[in-house]
Formats: sequence, C-alpha cells, structure tokens
Amino acid sequence: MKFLPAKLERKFRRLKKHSRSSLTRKLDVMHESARKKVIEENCDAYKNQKQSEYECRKRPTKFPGGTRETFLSEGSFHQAVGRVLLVAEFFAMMPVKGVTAKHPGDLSFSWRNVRTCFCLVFIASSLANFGLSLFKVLNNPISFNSVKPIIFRGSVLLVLIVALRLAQQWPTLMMYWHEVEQGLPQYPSQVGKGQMGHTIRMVMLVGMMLSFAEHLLSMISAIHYARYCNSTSDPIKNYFLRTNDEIFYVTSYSTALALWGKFQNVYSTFIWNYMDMFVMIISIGLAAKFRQLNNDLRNFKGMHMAPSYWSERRIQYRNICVLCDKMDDAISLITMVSFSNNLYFICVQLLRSLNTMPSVAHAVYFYFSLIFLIGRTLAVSLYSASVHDESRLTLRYLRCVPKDSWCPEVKRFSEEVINDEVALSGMKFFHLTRKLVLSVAGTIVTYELVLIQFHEDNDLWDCNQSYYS
Amino acid sequence: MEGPALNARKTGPKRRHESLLRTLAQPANTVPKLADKTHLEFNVITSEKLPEYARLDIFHRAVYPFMFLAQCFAVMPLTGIREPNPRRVRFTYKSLPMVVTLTFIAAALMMELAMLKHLLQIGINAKNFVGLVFFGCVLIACVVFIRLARRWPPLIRYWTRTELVFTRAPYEMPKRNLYRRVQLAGMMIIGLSLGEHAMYQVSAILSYKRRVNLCSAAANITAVTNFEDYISLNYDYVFQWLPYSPIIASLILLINGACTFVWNYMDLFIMMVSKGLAYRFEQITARIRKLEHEEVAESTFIEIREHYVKMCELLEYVDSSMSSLILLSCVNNLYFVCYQLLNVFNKLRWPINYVYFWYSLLYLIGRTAFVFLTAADINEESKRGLGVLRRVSSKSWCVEVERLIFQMTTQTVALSGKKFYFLTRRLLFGMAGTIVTYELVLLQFDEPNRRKGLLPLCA
Repeated sequence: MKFLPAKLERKFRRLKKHSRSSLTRKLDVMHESARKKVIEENCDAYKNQKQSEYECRKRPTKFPGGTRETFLSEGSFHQAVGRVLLVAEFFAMMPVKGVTAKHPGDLSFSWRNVRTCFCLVFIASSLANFGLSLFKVLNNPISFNSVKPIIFRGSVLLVLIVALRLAQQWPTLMMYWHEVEQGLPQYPSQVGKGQMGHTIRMVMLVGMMLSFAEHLLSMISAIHYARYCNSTSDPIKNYFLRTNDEIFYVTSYSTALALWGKFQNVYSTFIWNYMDMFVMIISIGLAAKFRQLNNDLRNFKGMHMAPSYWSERRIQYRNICVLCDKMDDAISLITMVSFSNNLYFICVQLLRSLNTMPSVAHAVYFYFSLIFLIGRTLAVSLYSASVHDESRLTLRYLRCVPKDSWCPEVKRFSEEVINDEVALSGMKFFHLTRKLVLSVAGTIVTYELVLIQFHEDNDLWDCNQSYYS
Repeated sequence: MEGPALNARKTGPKRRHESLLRTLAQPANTVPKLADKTHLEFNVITSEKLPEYARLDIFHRAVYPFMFLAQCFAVMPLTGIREPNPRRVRFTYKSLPMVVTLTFIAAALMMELAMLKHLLQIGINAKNFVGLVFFGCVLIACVVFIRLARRWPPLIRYWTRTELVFTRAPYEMPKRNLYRRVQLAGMMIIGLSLGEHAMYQVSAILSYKRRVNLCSAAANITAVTNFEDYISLNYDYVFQWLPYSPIIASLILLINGACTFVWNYMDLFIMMVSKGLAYRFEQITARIRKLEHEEVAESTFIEIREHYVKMCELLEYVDSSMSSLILLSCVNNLYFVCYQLLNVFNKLRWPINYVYFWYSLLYLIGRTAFVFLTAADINEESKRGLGVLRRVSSKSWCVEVERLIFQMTTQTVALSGKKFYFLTRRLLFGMAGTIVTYELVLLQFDEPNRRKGLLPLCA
C-alpha cells in the first residue's frame, strides 16, 4: 500500500539502502550464496540418499515377493480361494492346475496331470475301503448305529467323484465368475477388496484347526479303547486293529495294510470336513457379490437416478443370479451329501450321548466332537442362507426410489428381486434359507424322540463294533 | 393451533373449549434456542418451536415407567429415562444402574453354580433340570438387556424422530392412546406375575407347615416350624456353600424375586415394543381408510408411502437390535410350557398345590399367547390398508398406489427371531401344533414314573 508520494518513496528506499555499510552488504551476499550452496548440497545429498533408499527397497529383499504388488489383491474370488484349493489338492480333491495364479485364465484341467492321477488312485483306494466296510457291516446284525462307517465312507467316495467332475468344470466357472466380477461396481477401498478373502481364510483356518484337534482327540480316545479291548499284546497293533477293523476282518495283520488304513482314515476325515468348508466358502463368495451390489445401491439410496443406472444395476443383478445358478448346479450334490451327512451324524451322536461313558477321555472326545459337529452344521446353514438374505436386501433400497425416478426399469428390477428365489439348493429338493435351519432342527428333535424309544444301553461300546466315525 | 392440539384428535365442542382454556392458561412459550444445535434435528420445520415431549404421544413417554421399574430390578441400566426429552437417555458403564445390574448378575451366577454343583451330586434328570434352565435364562436375558441398553439411546432417538410425523395432522390419535394401551397391558402382566409369585410362596409355605406337622405327629415329637428351617429346606443348594444367616436368607428371597421379574420382563418388553410399532401402522391404516370415498391427489399417496417406508425401516432397525431377545424369550416360553404340560397328569398332595399348578400353567400359556398375538398384530395392521387401496377409484389410481400395494403384499413386515422365523399368527398356530405333538410323545415316556404315584411324605 502506497502511503508516501513517489518521490519521497524513492528517497526512503535509498535511505534504506544506505543504512547498511558495504561490508555488511558484502557479507550478506556471501552469506546468501553460502546458504544457497549448502541448500543445494544438502538437496543433492538428500536426493542421493532417497535414491539409494529406493534402490535398496527395489533390490530383492530377504523375503521373496515382499513387494507391494504381491500384497495388493484385486479382491476377486479366484485369488481368495486359491490357497484353499491348493490345500485340498494335497488331499486328492479337485485336481485343477493353476489355482494360485493371478488370472483365472491360467486354470486348466487335464486327465494326464499328476494331480488327476493321484486323485484317481485315491478314489480307487477309497472304493476298496468302502467295499471292505460294506462287507463287514452286511455280515453283522444291522442297526441304526452299525451303518455309520458305510455312510461315512460312502459319502466321502461320492464327494471325491463329484469333486473330480467339478474340477473339469472349474476353469469355465471361474472365467464366468471373473467376467461377472469385472462388470460389478468396484470396491471403493483396498479394505473392502480384502474382506471376502479374509473371511474365507479365517473360515478355512478355524475349520481345519478344529478338525485337527478333533482328530487328535479321537486318536487319544482310540488308544484308550485299544487298551480296554486288548486282543493282542502289542499296543500299536491293538490300535490299528481297532481303528481299521474292516480291513483286518478279511485279512491278517500287516504293517503295510495298517499304514494304508491310517492314511485312508486321515484323508477321509479331512474330506468329510472339507465338504462343509467348501460349501461355506462358495456361499461366502456369492454373498460377497450381492453385498458389493447392495453397497453401491446404498450409496445412492433415495436419490434421483437415471433409468440407465437402474438398467445397469438390474443386468448386474441378473448376472450374479445366473452365476449363483451355475455354481448351484455344480456343487448341488456336495451340498446335499453334506446336509444329509450332518443330519444323520447328529442324530446318531445324540443317541449315543445317552449312554454312560467308559472313561473321561471318551467323554471329552465325545462331547467335543458332538459340539464341533453341531457348530459346523449351524455354520454351513447360516453361511449358505446368507446368499438368499443378501439377495433380498436389494429390495430395501428399491423401495426408497422417489416418485420422479420411478420408471419401468425400477419396477422390473423390484419384481425380479421379489419373485426370483435366489439360493443355493440341495439338488433342487430344498433351498438353503434360514427357514430350513429351523425345520432341520425340528426334524432332528422329532427323529430323536422316536429313536430314544428303540434305544438299548448296552451295545454301543462293544469291542466288536466298528469304532471309526 | 399449536400446543395440546399437536395430537390432532376429533374433538367435540366441549373438548375444544377445554383445550382452548388450557392453551390460554399456559405461559407463553419461550423462543427455541437455535444456538443449541442438538435440538435442531428434532424439528421437522425449524421455524416451529420445540416439541414438548412431555405432552406428545410418543413411545418413550409411554414406556418410561416400566423401564424405570426394570432399572430398580437391575435390568437395562440406562440413565435419564424419566426425562421427557429422549435425547437425555444415556448409557454409561460408570453409573449406579450398571453397578446394581452387575451385582445382581454376580449373585444370580452364584446361585446357578451352587445349583449346578448340587445337581451334579444328586444326578440331573428332566425334572430338576428346570431350575438350571430358569437361572440360565435369567442370566442370559440380563446380558442381552445390557447389550440392548448400549444400543437403546440411538434407537430411541431414531424412533422418536420417525414417529414425530405421526403426532400431527393428518394423522389422528386412535381411541386409546399409546400410553394407556401400554399401561393397561403392562399392569396386567405385572399384577398376574405378582399373583403367581405370591401363590408360589403361599403354596410352598403351607406345604412345608403341613408336612412338618404331619411328620412330627407321626413320630410323636413336637412340631417346630420357623423361617430358618423353611429357607434351609427350600434353598438347600445355597447353604451347602454358605452358612445360614437371616441376611443371606432374605438376600436369597430378594434375588429369587428379581429373577422372576426379569423372567417376566422379557415378555413385557417385547409386548411394549410391539404395541408401539403396531400403533403407528394403525394410524397409517386409519388415514388410508379416511380416503376411501374421496378423490385423492397423487401427493397424498406419495406421502403415505413415504411414511410407510419409514415405519418399515424403523421396524427393521428395532428388529435387528431386539432379535436375540425375541429368540431367547421364545425358547424360554416353549421350554417352560412343555415342561409344565408334562406335569398335567401328575398327582399332587394338597389342594393348594393343585391351585398353584393350574394358575401358573394358565398364566404361562396366557402370557405366551398374549405376547405372540401382540407381536403378530404388527403384521396384521401393516396389511389392513390393502382392502381400501385395492378399491381406489380409477381417477385416483397412480403409480404410488401400485407401489404401496406391491410393498404391502410382498414384504413380511414383522418382528423376527434372528430372521429364522417371523412373529405372525401363522407361527403361533404352528407352534401350538408342535407343542401338542411333542407333548403326546413325551407323556408316553413319563408314564412309568407317574404310575408310581406320590412318594412317602416323611422320608
């Protein structure tokens, strides 16, 4: 702001300049240039330091794959489920190549692969084991409890065969899933992308740990049993005679057969648990897709949107429904086997709980396995029912559409959501919704009340009975 | 006219005169403190003065007496319930109600563990399991109520915000207002439950006295009946742990009474919430009924549908908060009804026992049915407007009517138990059928025990 006239201004300025002596002015200039040089040097040093740090980071670090790229995920189902399927492949289920690859286009199935051969060998061995079990059970009096080993091994065999067929279809299914995912509105943040993968990993981890604990407890309980029903003097031989009695019903004892029987048991237990985990994981994936769509609709709730927006969302919803149908066709048999299996085993175990337990180890193992069974059944039912629940949530956002944005597209969308029953099913006999959980619980109670009448207390801890559940 | 006429009611000439007198007698209302932003969100139009919550027909004012009574019995620890403004309701961990609740939970847990230890010694069977279930349910209910209390302040604020629109024209207040409805039903349940508890004590005391008199007459010794003996006999599982003293005895009686109250309060709470929600749906239906023979503009239907959607959203929010409580209450009622029905054909010793048994059985069945019917009322009320909507004349027909009909027919507007089942009339019918089926089977099991008859009196 000029508050002095121009002439006085100039005089004032000259006065200011003359206020400092030439020496101080020279010092100022030197100081200034020195300061600039120091800044530049520091700047260069700083730049060099940063450059070297960056190169340090870029160089291969102690952890291979420790770069940012490996931790970023696209949030796709194929990536989330990769490691889970890899673990299953070690247990001769679903022999698909390329499950841990980044893109589902790398998936392939071939009959000449090592994995497929291993799977076929294991199916043959399970078939032999099932045959032996059947032979033993048919040669003894049949009751509700005595068919337990047949049902166990039979369902494991069925699931193995279905999984082989599923492995053939898996590359096409994953490619279709990838297409549907690309079309959906994207996640707003990395946290959202990682959510589904995190849930899947947690479910798998908890499930596997609990089933491992249950298997350990069963081994301890079998060892106690072997001491109780000791037919020979060798405790290890007793143990194998107890747990693989269907093999030694027809042949005499040999170490190779015992090891084969043990290997068969461990793998069968894993597959029996993995059935439920697999259905849970597919349900989590499908429900996450519906949730992705619903979250986007929630952001625009009550706002005036163009008909093209609704048309786009309706088509995306339709795509997810078709995906759900395809997955349902692929895993329907597994779902049905899993549910029937759970129903039968809960009924049998509840019936056995009425007996007195021979020892504390038995009691601990028995109640742990019963609670694990009921918990796992409940978890499968609730996760698979979440697909149906999430698909219905869309209606909540459609009813808030204001009058001005109402168009035939929105009407068509809401009618579709209401009338179409989108849910996983068991061979289309029953649809997995929350109502089903209630009716299954009612069925179990009814069957128990009737079975308790036919219950006899003495024969369940019989030494001649097949132990393995 | 503002003020008391905020609840627009069809007033006759006499009533209008009275309300006029009332407004004149009031002091002039002060200017709303606009600087205080917290009040702004409750104003539908900011130029209006603050709603007087004490006079309004809102849910918070209807239920606060019962919630305060529950606080005295160590359930749902909230502060500021008695204030008219729902914003003052708060939940803090460091408050007196919370301390009382935690003390009660600790005491009930001790009684449950004592009973468990005692039963493990003498062997658990279906008959003595009921005590464990009773205390277990009460403890779980306390925890569920604490979690509900944590979510109650935002819930009641959202509720009041949504229902303020129903407190003014064109919505009319139904014949009995919400306060009176909740009071009537609540008083009935509390009165009957007090009667049941009193009769339980009377029956137990009389049986004890008669037994002591008869046994000592048979053994030729003098009869001694006193309070100490009675309590030690009835609550023997506690006195295995603790020594007897009159303080502990009265504490036990107090905790027992509080547990009975909590056991009843679960159902009372669900009934109050159901009545609150069904009341608003009834107002919507009444408004729709008024439009029957008139020519209605589309804007009216837009408004009605908007309010209906708001009520549905409120119901869903309340349902997500209360679902665990509803599930627990249903399981509780189902178990106790089945258990009591099992004893229907049992022989009892004295007439007072019969009187208590039948009163308690009928009270239990009546309470269960009443809570279910009240909750099913929400579903019924939400659909009652359909009859009128379908008869809307072609001139008034518009897209909004179609949307409203679609919504009413396709969506299940009801409370649920964690979305496993919806509380409708059909469910009550199904549950009754299931109970009868299970009873028929269970009564067969009990046949040999019943044939034994009464056990000898003086063991």
